[in-house]
Amino acid sequence: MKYCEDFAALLDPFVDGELTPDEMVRVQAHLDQCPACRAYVDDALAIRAAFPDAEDTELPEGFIETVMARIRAEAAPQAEAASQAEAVPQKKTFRPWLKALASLAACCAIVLLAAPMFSGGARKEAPAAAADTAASTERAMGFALTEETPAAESIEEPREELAAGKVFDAAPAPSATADSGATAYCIEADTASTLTLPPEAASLLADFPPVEETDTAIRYELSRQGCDALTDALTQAGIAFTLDDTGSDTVLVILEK
Amino acid sequence: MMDMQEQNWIAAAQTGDQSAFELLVRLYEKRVYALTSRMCRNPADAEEAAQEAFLAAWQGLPFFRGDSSFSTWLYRLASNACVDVLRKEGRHQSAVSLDDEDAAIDLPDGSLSPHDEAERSELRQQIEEGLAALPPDYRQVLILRELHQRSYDEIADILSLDLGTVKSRINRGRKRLRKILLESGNFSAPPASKQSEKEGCK
Repeated sequence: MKYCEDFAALLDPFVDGELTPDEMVRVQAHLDQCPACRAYVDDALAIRAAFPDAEDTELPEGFIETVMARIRAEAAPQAEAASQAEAVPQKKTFRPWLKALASLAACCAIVLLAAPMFSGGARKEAPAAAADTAASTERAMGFALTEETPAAESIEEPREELAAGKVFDAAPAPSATADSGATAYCIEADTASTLTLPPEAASLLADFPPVEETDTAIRYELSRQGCDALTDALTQAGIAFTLDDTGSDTVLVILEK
Repeated sequence: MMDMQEQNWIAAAQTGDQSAFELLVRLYEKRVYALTSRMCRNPADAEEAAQEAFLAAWQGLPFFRGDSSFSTWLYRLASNACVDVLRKEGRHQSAVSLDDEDAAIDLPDGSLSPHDEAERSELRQQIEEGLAALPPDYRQVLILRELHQRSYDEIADILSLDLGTVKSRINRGRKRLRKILLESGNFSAPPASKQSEKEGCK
């Protein structure tokens, strides 16, 4: 593989921090695609972590306290996080998949929003249900999906990020009709990428909370990063799959029964 | 390689149990920091990357599949965090100047500081033995790199070698060590690495 010979010489400098930031990023991207190079780097890191005296490393003062404080701030429910965000200074790093998960919450809200509408349920309960669903989805996932804003506002935020942004128009409107509810669902299905899996992939999805279960399939919604990790695992396990990639930030996973 | 206790902590942390996660942090904090400081080499960057690694671990736990090694996953997050930090800083990490006493180290002869036998993990033991079994040329550079955190330039200086030789000895040292560990059965190699005992896709 000629392509990879370019990277073979960069793996040690990568592990040793001897590359420029741009080169580091390039190698990191290559690692995501190359199991052999990935394995070498993994092993080099494992050797380093178990090297004599690694356990004698002197940690910066208050290291674990700082880590746990940030985790507590992130894990707090939306309403509390809003007030805590000022108390605990948080370093904002760019985590695009967090926003994807926020849209996932909104999508869940819309799917569940559409369901009662479809069967003619009470419409004025819908916005409250949307907020509740988003919050309970977050709790089920065990961490906050957005860093500070309450659930209702978080639906607005990712709208700019997504091509499928128009889906969210349906959510807060109390006068949404059954038609627009159904339309919202269809839009979501059209613009979201779809990953279809055979039944033997079930064990790989064990950690994910399903969104919906029908007679023929179980459905999940994953962020792009989660989908990438999943397809990685599928390839390694030799399980065939079909990915219809529209480039969306969320991926609808259909696990056939 | 993961013991039952660690697995229980992971399972609990995955459901959102913060105290379980804190136990994991305690278990891995030194190793992760050792990792990031040898990759970032600037202490402030290393600290930030180590913090970000654990934060990413907390947030990514729902996506962590229990079948792969938790430590491998965590170390990857740590190296990703290093890349992120270095990219943000936007500067090439040159060697950090260390204390004078560190500058005048004796050439390492392979003897390492004694550890409490009971506390040494099996992998650590294997690495110490593997290091002892390495040709001295390879052992020297690895110890300078991993233990003393010297840059390639510094190693070249200390050993009066050119940069290319330093790089190739580090590479060969790692490959050889890897081979020893795989053969001794202590390294639980992922399936991919079995087909490539050499690194890269050659």
